[in-house]
Amino acid sequence: MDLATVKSELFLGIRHAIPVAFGYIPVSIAYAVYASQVGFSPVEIMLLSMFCYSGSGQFLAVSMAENHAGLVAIAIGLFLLNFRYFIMSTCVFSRFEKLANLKRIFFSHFITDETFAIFTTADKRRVNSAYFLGLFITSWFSWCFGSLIGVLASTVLSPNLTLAMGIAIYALFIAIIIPGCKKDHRLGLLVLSVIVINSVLYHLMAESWSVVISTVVCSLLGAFFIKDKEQYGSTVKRAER
Amino acid sequence: MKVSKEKIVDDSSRLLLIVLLGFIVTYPVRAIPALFISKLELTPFWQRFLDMVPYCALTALVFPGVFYCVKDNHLAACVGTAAAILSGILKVPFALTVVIAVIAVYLILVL
Repeated sequence: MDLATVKSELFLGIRHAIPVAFGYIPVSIAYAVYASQVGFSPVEIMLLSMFCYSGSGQFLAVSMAENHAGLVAIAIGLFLLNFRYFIMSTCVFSRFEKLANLKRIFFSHFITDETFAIFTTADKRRVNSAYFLGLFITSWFSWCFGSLIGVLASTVLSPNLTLAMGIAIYALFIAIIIPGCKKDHRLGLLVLSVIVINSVLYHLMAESWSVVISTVVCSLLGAFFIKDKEQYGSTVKRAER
Repeated sequence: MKVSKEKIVDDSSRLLLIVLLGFIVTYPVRAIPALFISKLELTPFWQRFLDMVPYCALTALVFPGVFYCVKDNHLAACVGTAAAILSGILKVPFALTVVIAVIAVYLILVL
């Protein structure tokens, strides 16, 4: 890639991170407010955001700390909750034909539900380091930035607003899912099957497990029945926003 | 949500350990597939499988969890969800969809 392409891909990545930031900032504010109430220091709150960098994982760790859970229990809970990153990371990095190991070691830290969502539904021309850096690093910064705001503003935010911001990430995911389903109705059918299966499993086991199991089961179903789908990104091409 | 100024957990060295755990437990889950997936030859079936993962995983993360995301207020959660779905169908930009859903939930909470 020449320098001009690198630059344009980098900026495209940054632009595509804007909706992620809109989802992240309210949620990370809510996280930081909650963690301050539990007793985490501002430095600890920021470190957890920077290095754990997993919304649901951080909420879990804080709520388990609040309930005086043991360290081993917290470790197991975090591992189970974040096991889905194993599948997501597989999915993201299987798209790179060539990528240096050092980059893999660095890049993989930034895999989250949201960045995964944008990256894997984007056009396949976006599979390059520059776009990846722009999208993933900007998202990471917005998560840390939101945490910082939460730390600073933990006493002034209204509880209702903090509560309402909890829907932000879900809204982002809904916005990502719908265009693909409108374009390919079989995908819509697959999405419906996920909703049914996950709604049943949700009441039978921990949520982190039901998510992993219904994802694997329904992706297998999809791989069996949706065969003529072109390579990712072409059938479900996202509008450039 | 708790409003008291009292710290619930006072043992600060333990909280730092939890922060450390957050990294130690989460990072390898992300890094191991990143390092080893390129060494695998994927058959078309497994390639298709991985292509289906995004939509399935995102849907599973949203439903039914979204209906419980506003503590003790299913109505607010449902209205927020409906607002997000409607915005999605009307092709509202992603970021604006997020704002609309938050405002919808907030309005139900305060009204």
